[in-house]
Amino acid sequence: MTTTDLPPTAGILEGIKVVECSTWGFGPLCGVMLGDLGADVVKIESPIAPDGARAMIFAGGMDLRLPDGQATTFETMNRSKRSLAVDLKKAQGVALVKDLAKEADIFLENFRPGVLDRLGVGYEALRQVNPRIIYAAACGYGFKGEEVERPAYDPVGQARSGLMWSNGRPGDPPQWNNRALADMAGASLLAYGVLGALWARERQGIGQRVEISHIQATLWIQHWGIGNAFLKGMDEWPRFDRDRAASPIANWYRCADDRWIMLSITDAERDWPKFCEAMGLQSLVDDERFCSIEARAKNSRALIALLDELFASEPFVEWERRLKTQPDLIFDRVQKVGDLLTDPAVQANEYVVEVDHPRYGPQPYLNHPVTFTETPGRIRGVAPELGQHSAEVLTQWLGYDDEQIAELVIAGVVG
Amino acid sequence: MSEGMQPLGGIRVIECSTWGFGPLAGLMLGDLGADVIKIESPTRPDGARTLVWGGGMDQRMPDGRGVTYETMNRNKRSLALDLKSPEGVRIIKELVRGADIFLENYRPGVMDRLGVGYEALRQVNPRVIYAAACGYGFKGEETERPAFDPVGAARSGLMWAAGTPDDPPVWINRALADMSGGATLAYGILAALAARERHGVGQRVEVSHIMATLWLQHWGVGNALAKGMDEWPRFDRRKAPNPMFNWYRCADDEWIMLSIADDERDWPKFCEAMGLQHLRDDTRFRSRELRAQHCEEAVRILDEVFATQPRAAWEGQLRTQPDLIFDRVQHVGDLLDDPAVRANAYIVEVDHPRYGSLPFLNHPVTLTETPASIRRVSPELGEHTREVLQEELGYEPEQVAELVAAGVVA
Repeated sequence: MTTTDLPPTAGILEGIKVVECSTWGFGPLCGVMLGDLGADVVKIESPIAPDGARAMIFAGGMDLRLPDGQATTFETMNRSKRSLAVDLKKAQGVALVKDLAKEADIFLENFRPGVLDRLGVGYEALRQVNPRIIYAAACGYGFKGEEVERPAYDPVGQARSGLMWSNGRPGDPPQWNNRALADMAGASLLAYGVLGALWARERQGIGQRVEISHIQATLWIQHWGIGNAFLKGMDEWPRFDRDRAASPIANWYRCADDRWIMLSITDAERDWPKFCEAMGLQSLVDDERFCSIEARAKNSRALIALLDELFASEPFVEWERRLKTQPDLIFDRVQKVGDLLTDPAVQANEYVVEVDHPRYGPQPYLNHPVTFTETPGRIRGVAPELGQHSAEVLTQWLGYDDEQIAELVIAGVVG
Repeated sequence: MSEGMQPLGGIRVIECSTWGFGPLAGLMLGDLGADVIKIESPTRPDGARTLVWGGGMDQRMPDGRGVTYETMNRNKRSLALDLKSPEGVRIIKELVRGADIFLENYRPGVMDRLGVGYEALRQVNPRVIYAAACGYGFKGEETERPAFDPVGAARSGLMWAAGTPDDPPVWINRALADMSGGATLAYGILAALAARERHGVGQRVEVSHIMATLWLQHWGVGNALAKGMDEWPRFDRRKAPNPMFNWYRCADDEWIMLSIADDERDWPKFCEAMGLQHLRDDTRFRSRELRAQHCEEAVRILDEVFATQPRAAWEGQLRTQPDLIFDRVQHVGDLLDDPAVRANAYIVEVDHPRYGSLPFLNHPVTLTETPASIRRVSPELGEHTREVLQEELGYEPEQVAELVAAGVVA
């Protein structure tokens, strides 16, 4: 298949129009993913009460301000979009958003269930003006049941799904993971659902609602542990105890330079001799305490103590060198965020890319999470200023002239 | 529901993948109605079938089978085929000719050497979408290194994000890198299907453990990168600058998670609901800045307060103010009775021919008009070999018998 007829920057979703009414992380990251793929994502915010992420200065225990006082979450969660400021509490604003939805393929929102219905731009209202629209909605608790209208943030997903009890060591209290995993997983899965619905529309000619919740998404990223626990009838899939790991060669160790190494040698039968060889532990290959999977499980504390001591005797790079002499052994260094920029795999695969930000200059951004060889996703612009593209969008999507736009601005409908 | 109303009804997927990363992507496509044919070697099938220990856990079902295989392979058909034989390679190519998607998570290069890599398959089907998963990405010196989930967790920074601030690095025993990898790859495949429909191109779709695990942490990692920080530190509950965005142990040893981020608006409501009216105008706590300044004191006070009543009592009190965001911290065992999980059918009972009725996690996205469904449990090795060869490729029963005798299929 030749692809020469495609412009080099053609996005998969070029020509697809998305109206995004969403705030914080869950909805916005979904919009980022569609925007990276080339969709025209227009983010609607109130001119007077915009996305709270723009002003969020503390969250997750962190100061979220960039040097000029702007909030970093908004920057991180809103690239590849345009901004249209519309007041949905005014009748003219509602009419305007309906006009936009008439032109759109996708409407994306993460308000508390019921809020947009009350404003007059819920699914029922929008499908009246556009029966083919895909209405993507995110909430905390799902759209059925008594808790539907409860507000939620990321921690609700982590708390309710069991993730907080899996995050940490045995004996720790529950622990919230400070990376907003529920919001992020939710966004990715919603983007996946939107693409599924686009396909269904293409094939079957129908629009529909696509729904996801914090609870549901956070369950899904734990599918291995939770799904396995269900099938085995267990009440918990316990946290991993490194001091008693049943397979000591699938465990992590501190090296002499305080760097940690993660071993993930799962094919333990095949690889035990190779591991011993690489580590200079030939004497252990046939040691009856450790020479089989069962024996190592039974004597794991002894073997872990031995390996703790051994790894502590040399720096990480020395162990890395030795383990690499056996190419089947799976292991890696335990990194921090600061290691990512110089990580050779991150560099070679462009997992982090520099984007020139008009305010801050060149900045590192996480690239799109999937590599498409023919139609790559790419970052199409940094997070917009509030209302930066109001006039542009109204002209391009709805054909408004300058005078009409000026009237809307004066009336406070558009900002 | 008719096959035609499933979003991916009529889409054919050939899956050559093992463990969790590739299989979860195949499972998601199967949930959406695709016909997923999983290819395994008759003599060395997916290791998840026989895994004894994984994540420190005994991985065996009561009859000794690997539970991970059961969890990761619903909605698929099984074709046992020896890819090391020329006949096997020929059969794969025949299948791919009629397929939309080829999905694999072998070490990069392995499929090429067997003769069923992307270049070989696009020769027989230029429109095929070739979805590939690996640990380190498909560029760079580490491409061919083998990897499992912990590589993604270690390399992406997730292990230093897991746990309390004083912990050493921690691996979260839920295979988050594999699971987010599988979900992200499924997303990529749907996008590539859209690209094929809209632009007429087949292509490779690639996801790695490292990238998927970074994406899952986008909020923390993206913010740290933007702020030029070397780490996005673990959350320290003893020093939570907003004491209403924190978690507390109740009298019955159950924990409650508060997520009251709109703290200026909600501090009076919180004090009111908790019966802490005297704290509302306390000079130590009456503003955001003051609460941050005296956070250790505030957390200590709330620790004591929450410890005086069981969780249900606090839930009742907090619910008198509907804007307050909070929830109980649950264990896996709480999920089956969770009212939201039940109301939304996040867990469904599936009748398993070997084990009877078992709870399965439902598809993670609700499509109201074309819902996903669980139509079959994980297949026995080679359960559908004859069916696929005869019905899909038109082989005669004698031809299949010959292939079985030759050890090409099982």
